[in-house]
Amino acid sequence: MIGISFYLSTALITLIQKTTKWLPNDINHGRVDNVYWLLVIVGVLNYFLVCAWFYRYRNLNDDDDQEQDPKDDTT
Amino acid sequence: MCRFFNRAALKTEDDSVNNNWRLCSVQEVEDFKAVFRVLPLLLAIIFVSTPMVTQTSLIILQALVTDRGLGPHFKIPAGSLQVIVIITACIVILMNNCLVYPMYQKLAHKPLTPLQKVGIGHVFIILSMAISAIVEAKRLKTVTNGHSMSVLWLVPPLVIVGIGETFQFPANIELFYREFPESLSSTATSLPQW
Repeated sequence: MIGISFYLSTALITLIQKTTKWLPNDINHGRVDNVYWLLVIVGVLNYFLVCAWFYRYRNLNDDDDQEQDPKDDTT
Repeated sequence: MCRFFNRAALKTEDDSVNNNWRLCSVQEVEDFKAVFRVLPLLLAIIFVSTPMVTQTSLIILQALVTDRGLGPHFKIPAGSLQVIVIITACIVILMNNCLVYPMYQKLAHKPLTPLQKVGIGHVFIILSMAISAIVEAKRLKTVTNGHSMSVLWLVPPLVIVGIGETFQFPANIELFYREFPESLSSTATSLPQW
């Protein structure tokens, strides 16, 4: 997974270089701080993805328990 | 959510029991469900490592344009700044296992779950990116004033990303090892580093 993210980061940097002027050859004339804020946004979105997974996982267990009970009664 | 996988274990009329491609055992189906359920978490590792990896390369660029002199004769090589992450990780991983986790267990009367540790790691890594952004904004300001900033300003984000890694990666391995079926336990330990 880390290997994949190495490829992704290369793609991300190329994309930023192509679309914005944040990463010129001399970064004194660029805006590397904006790149970092972009990374913060990626991290926060990703964090909510993990939280969502956690929530769904818990609900799933509850559902299974509820479905199990009526079956047990009929058999 | 994953109940439709149960149909793989459903016996139809023209199935022979010996044909593994037509019919799965219930155990196989449950194992596959366990793997399927952690897929979002695997994707989450990619997207939390991407900022970390990007920071690795950007920090070298930043270090090249800062004042890397320490003392009169010594200059820190820009590429070796990354060692700080590893050193921090070594120290914090010891502290976590000997101090932080036992202390939490004593105070809260329950251990931290692997997922909670992963969450803490994510928070630290995001925090490190924010600090990097602030440091870079400060550096750009010093450049316009005609000064060169000390390289030591780049140390705090690296230390915090090291702390984040120590929370996140061992916990990820722990989590996958716990969630994956027994036959895939070695895959589970290698997947986060993949």
